[in-house]
Amino acid sequence: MMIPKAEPQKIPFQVFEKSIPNEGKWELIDGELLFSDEEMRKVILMLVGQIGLKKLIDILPHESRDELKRLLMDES
Amino acid sequence: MSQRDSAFVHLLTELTHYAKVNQSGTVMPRTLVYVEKKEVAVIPDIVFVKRARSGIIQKNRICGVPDLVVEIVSNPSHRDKLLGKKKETYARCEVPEYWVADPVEKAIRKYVLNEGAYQEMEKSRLFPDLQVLQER
Repeated sequence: MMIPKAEPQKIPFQVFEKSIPNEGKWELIDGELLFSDEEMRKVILMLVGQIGLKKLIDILPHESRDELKRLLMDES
Repeated sequence: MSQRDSAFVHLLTELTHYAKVNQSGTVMPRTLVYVEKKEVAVIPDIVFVKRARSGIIQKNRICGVPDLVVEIVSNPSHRDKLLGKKKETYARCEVPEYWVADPVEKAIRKYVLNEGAYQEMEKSRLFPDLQVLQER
């Protein structure tokens, strides 16, 4: 499992192999991706791990960033 | 080649040959199927569209409901998905036939739509004489 850090990381092949969701197919049913919760978790961690948390914050729209900040504050 | 890939190649070859000989329609591998009114976008392993309905085949997708969808099982959790959410979705989209091929069990479950629900049948209505043997 990939643990996202502030900076981008390389994806080890074993992680890549285990993180490909739904047989590599991105399918949509009723507005929802046909990934199980576990598949979703793995693919998101892999993608965020690859770009790093800094980049994730950078690409989030301002509104989402504020929301994320609020959620993190609530949690702590 | 994995059992799944062998089953895929075998089924694709047999269905394509049958459809060609009988001039019944088009068999396509891993093509995006978009059913707008049901908000569904899926990529089945194999689809078949009858000749009379070939207008739904577009350049890089099928815009509408195919006549047959074939999915191939790759592992137990994938089988659950194919026999659960996907089967329910294909029934809701009114796909007339849905096959689930299981290379491990060496079997193909053939479901035919009957009054909105799938009924397992021994013979396909679209490919009645086709003898599909799983690769061993």
